[in-house]
Amino acid sequence: MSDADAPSSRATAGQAPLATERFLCRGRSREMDVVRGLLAALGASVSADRTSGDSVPEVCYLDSASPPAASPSGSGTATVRVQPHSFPDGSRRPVSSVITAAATGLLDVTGEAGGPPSVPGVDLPAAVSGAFATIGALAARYAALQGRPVPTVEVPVYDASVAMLSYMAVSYFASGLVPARLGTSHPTIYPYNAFRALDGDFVIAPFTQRFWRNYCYAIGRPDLIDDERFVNFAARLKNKSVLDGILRPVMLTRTVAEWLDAMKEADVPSGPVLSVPDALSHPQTVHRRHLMSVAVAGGSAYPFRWARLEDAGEDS
Amino acid sequence: MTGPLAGVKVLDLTRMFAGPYCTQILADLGAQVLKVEDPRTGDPTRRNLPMKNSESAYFMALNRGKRSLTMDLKSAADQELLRSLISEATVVVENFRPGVTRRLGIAPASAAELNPRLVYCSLSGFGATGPYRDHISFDLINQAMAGFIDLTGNPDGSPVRVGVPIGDMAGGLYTAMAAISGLIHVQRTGSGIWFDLALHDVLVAMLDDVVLDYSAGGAAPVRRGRFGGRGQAIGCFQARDGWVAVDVSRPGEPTRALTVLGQSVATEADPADIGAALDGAVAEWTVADIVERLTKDGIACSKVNAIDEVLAEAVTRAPGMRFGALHPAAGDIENLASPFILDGRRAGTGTVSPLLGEANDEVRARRTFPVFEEVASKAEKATT
Repeated sequence: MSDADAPSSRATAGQAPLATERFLCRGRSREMDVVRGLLAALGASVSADRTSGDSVPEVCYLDSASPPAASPSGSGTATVRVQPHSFPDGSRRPVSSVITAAATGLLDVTGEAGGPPSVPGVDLPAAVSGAFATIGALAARYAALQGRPVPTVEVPVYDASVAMLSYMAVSYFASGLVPARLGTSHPTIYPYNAFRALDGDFVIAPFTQRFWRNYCYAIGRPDLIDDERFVNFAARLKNKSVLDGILRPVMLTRTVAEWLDAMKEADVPSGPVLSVPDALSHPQTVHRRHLMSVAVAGGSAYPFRWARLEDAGEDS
Repeated sequence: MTGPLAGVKVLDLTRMFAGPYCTQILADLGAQVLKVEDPRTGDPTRRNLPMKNSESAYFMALNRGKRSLTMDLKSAADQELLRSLISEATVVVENFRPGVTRRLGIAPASAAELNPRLVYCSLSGFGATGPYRDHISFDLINQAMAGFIDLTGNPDGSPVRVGVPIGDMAGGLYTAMAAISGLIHVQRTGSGIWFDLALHDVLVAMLDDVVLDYSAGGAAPVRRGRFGGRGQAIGCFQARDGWVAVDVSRPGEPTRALTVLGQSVATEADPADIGAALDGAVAEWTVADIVERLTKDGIACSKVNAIDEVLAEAVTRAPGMRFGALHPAAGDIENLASPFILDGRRAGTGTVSPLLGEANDEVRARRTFPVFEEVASKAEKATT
């Protein structure tokens, strides 16, 4: 059965969630490009100019980092203000996306252990602050539709970047320990990282003791399960360098495909480290993009997929 | 509860990171979030290290402002209670593996019979369809399979992951977006809606900006180590006492930066090949000196801050993101609030994570959502 015939494809034929909505988006920036893209993907129309008497919700990129004057709540017009890159001390220092990433800790935790900081290949401060601004705009619009007071929403790009620290920040508050760059590794779990195989890299994520046991069987080393040095998460972390010295040579003995088959067979979370072209042509990516592109007009737009609730039973 | 989502009742059937991150955003915006947990262990992240007394920092970071109900979803009695709560909810968010909700009798079509105006969000690693729908997913795996790891790190060395859990976080953000757009849809049409979100789809979508050239027939994007952008005009450089990020991508800035750092520059420095020259210049100075000098000259730069330095700075902007609160088990804690500022007030300030099953008696006695305390009163006590 082709995708077009599948119940799942028919189920995406619902009206776009924001088909009735229009938003005003003002200001040129990567953050605003993200906002425009997300609103459009959910079916909204996005315009750059307000017409006379228009009260459509507005997302604007401020010209400066100064906090905006509050607009009266309850005016019925949702307003979201994206505060551009700036430092929290109120200084007028020039700043850009990579500088924000450096200032907010993103670069310090990205890179090889002991090596230089690495700049992620995607502009994450823009992606995340644009997403927060979109959420703020939608929430304010919903309040307006409900006839409730509509808040003015501010999203400082700096603050959205700090939000990416999430549990790492709270872990620091609790322990006082500052995380370091770890390559692909996890601060409290080993193994949980990329390994080099004969022909490339792949990752494993044995996040539970059961998955660890499965992994030991998958690599033909069930003796490691009862080894006192590796018997639990704390022991494996304590003896990480010893265990690493055991595992890496083993991982080099097979191809990525062979290891992924073995991991799947043994039920160990795993996946290949794909290049961007390979990620774009991966069967799952192709399937999902195709599924969304064949849906009828207004049915879905990548990466959002929706259906009328009553039609959604076949593949949920 | 106040906030733009006041009155919205969210039945939270999620665990780990991405789902709880979504529902925490909804709570920060005023929604009433009832988190359903396994009665024996609760959300598995309740045991993630480090702990503050008996509470996991990881769990506390992702579950502020929610209430907790434990349910044995395999028992008929609790399934009946679950259906009752679905009937009352405005939004359901779940991140079971695809197919589990059907086994529990709460798949979207079944939920529609209970509550035809429901917004139902399903979030999984690879979505509800396709050859990988049943593949187990964690942030590391999604970063690897969406190209993020291959795209990050030294071009001559091993790839690295983005150091923050961006796969999970982006999944939570996009699910929150879907949920609120669903609320608007229901308000406009009167009909419920189901969303099928995948961390893989979200991360691939975030590549769009990166793959513009490649999609138009250009070269595939490659990892660029400590540099951002195309050349070497934006990147990290090692000073005498640490790393500093410098952006000299605008015309004339490479030469100005080198001059300010005491280098004699005979000709205009080339932004595409500025790395070695800046390496030499920056190595002579401390980070503080470099930042002071370049800033005075209008050049964007920053120390590459470690987390402790970031969080020291984050308290200085009022209303700050770092706040203190009293947790019933962990005692005095510090947490990170939302990046949203609503009418001048920081969202999420003053809220704490729930104890396992703390809402059990209230929910089971009334068979309805519990009462949510007005968070504003807590926020007044919070330190910023």
